[in-house]
Amino acid sequence: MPLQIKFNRIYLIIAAVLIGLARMAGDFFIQIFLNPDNSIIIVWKFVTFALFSSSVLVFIFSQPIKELHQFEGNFEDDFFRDLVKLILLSLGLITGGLFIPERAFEHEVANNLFWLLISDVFTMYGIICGLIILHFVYKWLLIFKHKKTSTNIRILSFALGYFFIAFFIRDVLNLRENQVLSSLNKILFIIISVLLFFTAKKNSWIALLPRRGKLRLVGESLLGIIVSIIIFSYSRSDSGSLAKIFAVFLPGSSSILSIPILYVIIFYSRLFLSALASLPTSQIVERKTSELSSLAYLNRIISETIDFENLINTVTKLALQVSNAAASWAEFYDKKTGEVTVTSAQIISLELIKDIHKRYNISEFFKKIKKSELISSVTENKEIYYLAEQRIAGSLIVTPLCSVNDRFGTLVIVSPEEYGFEFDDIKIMAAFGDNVSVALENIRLVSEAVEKEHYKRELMLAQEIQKKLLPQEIPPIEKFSVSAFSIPSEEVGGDYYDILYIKDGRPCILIGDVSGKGITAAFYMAQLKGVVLSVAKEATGAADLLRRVNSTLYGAMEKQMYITMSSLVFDSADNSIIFARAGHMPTIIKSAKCTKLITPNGIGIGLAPQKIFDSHLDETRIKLYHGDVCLFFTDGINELKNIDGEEFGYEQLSEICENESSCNAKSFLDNLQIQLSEHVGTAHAHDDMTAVAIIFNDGEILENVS
Amino acid sequence: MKNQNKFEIKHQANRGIQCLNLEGYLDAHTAPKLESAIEELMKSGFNKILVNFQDLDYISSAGLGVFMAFIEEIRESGGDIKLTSMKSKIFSVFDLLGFPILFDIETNDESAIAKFLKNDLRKNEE
Repeated sequence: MPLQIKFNRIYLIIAAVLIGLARMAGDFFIQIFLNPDNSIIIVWKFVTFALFSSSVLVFIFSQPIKELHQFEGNFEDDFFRDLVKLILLSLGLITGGLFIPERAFEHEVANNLFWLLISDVFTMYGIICGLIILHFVYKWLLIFKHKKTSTNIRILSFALGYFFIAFFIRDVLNLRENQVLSSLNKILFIIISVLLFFTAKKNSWIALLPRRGKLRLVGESLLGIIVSIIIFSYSRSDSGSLAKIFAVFLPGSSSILSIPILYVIIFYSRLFLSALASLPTSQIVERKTSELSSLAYLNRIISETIDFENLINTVTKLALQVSNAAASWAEFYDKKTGEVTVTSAQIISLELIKDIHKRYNISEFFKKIKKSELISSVTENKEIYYLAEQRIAGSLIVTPLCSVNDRFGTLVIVSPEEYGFEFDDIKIMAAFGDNVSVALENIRLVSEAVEKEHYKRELMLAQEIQKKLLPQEIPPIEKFSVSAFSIPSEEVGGDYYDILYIKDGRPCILIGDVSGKGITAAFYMAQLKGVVLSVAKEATGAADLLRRVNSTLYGAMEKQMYITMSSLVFDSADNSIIFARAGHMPTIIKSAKCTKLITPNGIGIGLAPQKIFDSHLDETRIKLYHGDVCLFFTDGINELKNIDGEEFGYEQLSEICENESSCNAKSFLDNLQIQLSEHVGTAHAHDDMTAVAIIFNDGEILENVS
Repeated sequence: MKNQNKFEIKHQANRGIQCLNLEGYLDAHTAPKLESAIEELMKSGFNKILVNFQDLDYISSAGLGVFMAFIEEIRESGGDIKLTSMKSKIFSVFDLLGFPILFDIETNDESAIAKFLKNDLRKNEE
């Protein structure tokens, strides 16, 4: 409860003040009325001393010690404040010790009332100082604690108690000349000093102090040592002037000051030595700390940002912070055009750098540098001497930025002076370069992935649209069972099939294959669909339809593009089909008698002008009987390769046709698809696959179909 | 499948006729190689080109397209592209498309060269 503590602490102050006043009043009384040898005096002195010291002790030690850790916060400020407070208190003690003459006392009794009261006040001040010093040591030992600290603090507290009692007894019983006791005390003194010296060893924080902080620590601890040694020599229990003043207050009481002072001397010495030792390396340490934090910062930025500009700006700024550079910039090279982009210039004008690039081929020079390199004297360098002439740089560090196998940029830091950089600057810039390269590569990969995703979405859309260009369902055709499928090898393809009605209303099935595959083929496929739809209404037959398609498309396509097509007109009245082929795969016809490949003459669409095309196009009429199968397909099917490179082939296709007995084109094609996927196995289909199956079913021997 | 992308063109001149001997797989990936080879010949002013298919194992639709891309221009300049020595499988691909109507496909280099020379002779007589 903070309120409770505050309340009690005010009482403690009041108690201490009252005890002090009572003591002075009592001393006044004793001086006048009592014989100095009266044994009651020592009891009075002891009781008042004990009461006063303990109230001050409780007051000081009831101050909560903040939970400080040596590696966090600005605990150094707190430390320096305490240090200054201590030195000021000590200076007060020294002044007092000098001011109060030794001759004011004789045999631990004041010569007159004035000196008695002065010594009372001063001793009480001394007690307070001693306890504050004790608290200081205690507090900072705790803050810089290590695993043995608490044991050591216990030993130190015990030592304080021991010396106090020992000196008290010695002085009261007049045992000053006792050799055994004084030797024992000396040995204990040394043991404690050594112990404290090791207790105060955790000073690694000093190394991380900025140079100014270290200088201050050296100065203040040195001053502290001097002041404390003076006080210590004054307060030594047998000879010092402070010791005599304390002895008047209570024999042996100077331990309450001398022991903490001894602690603090050792503590200061340790600080002084550590600070002094770390002074020469302080610049390096500062630099390393700054490098480390910049790299950490850079890494954080890298993990957070996918914005190229932002990252480069941060990098050129950080480069200035960690090196001796006066200015910096970055430049990037376009892989294809070789164009140089200068960006993120710091301190120096971007226009100036761009101007240099226009006038000189500086990027070529940079590109030749394969790893972070220092050019100590620009003037002496024949290739870039102009940088010195233009007063841009006296020396510079060039750091290449590269991905696995591609040099895409350069990070440049410059100093106006020749030999303006240190060896360490190259190392840190190399580290920077590596980090930035990775980050930029990441950004590039991310944006590539985003772009890919975008294209993928576009392709999916194209795929959807292309699916809609194919018949959603095949309308029923009298006496025929018809089915089809089309599987592009990529998202979109160049295969096409359709069912439509020609001029006289007869249904017509088309299958087509645009040369090539992928997007290009898909565009031609869409164009083909449009052409077919527009010419079908005027077409008089299977061959005529192909002629019309060719006359529209010949010359309208790129020269190396062509389309193979087959068309088939259903003649239900005549139980036959009329078939024409324009460069397309043969059609398999399976009848009761035999299974054969039919390949009427015909040139691919887009290959020949109308006259040649027309004169070489034949049309075949085929009479069909129940169960006869007619299979159209694109080359993706017969050329489908398995893992060993073996093609599916015409023979296997014919065999599947021969085995057909369902009279259902749909289930026939389902079976074909199963066989195809069994064939391809783990291999990948390299071409679009489309098939159209037509099975003649006039119901004459329907009972045979189960 | 492993050799799919392996495609070589060997070029030699025979009595003023540029002979290209194709080897391996001619598909969408390798077609540009043949395209640039023919283009180069045309740029250098040659218009009598003989393409030998003896060592070609596979040709795709994109491969066939290469010949279509140039034939018109070459014929306009008075030259020709003659195709020779096809394996039956390769020939059937050309045949299905109707190429024999459009291109001069010969069984061997000699007959193709003879035709080129004969044609030249006729022109000279004219």
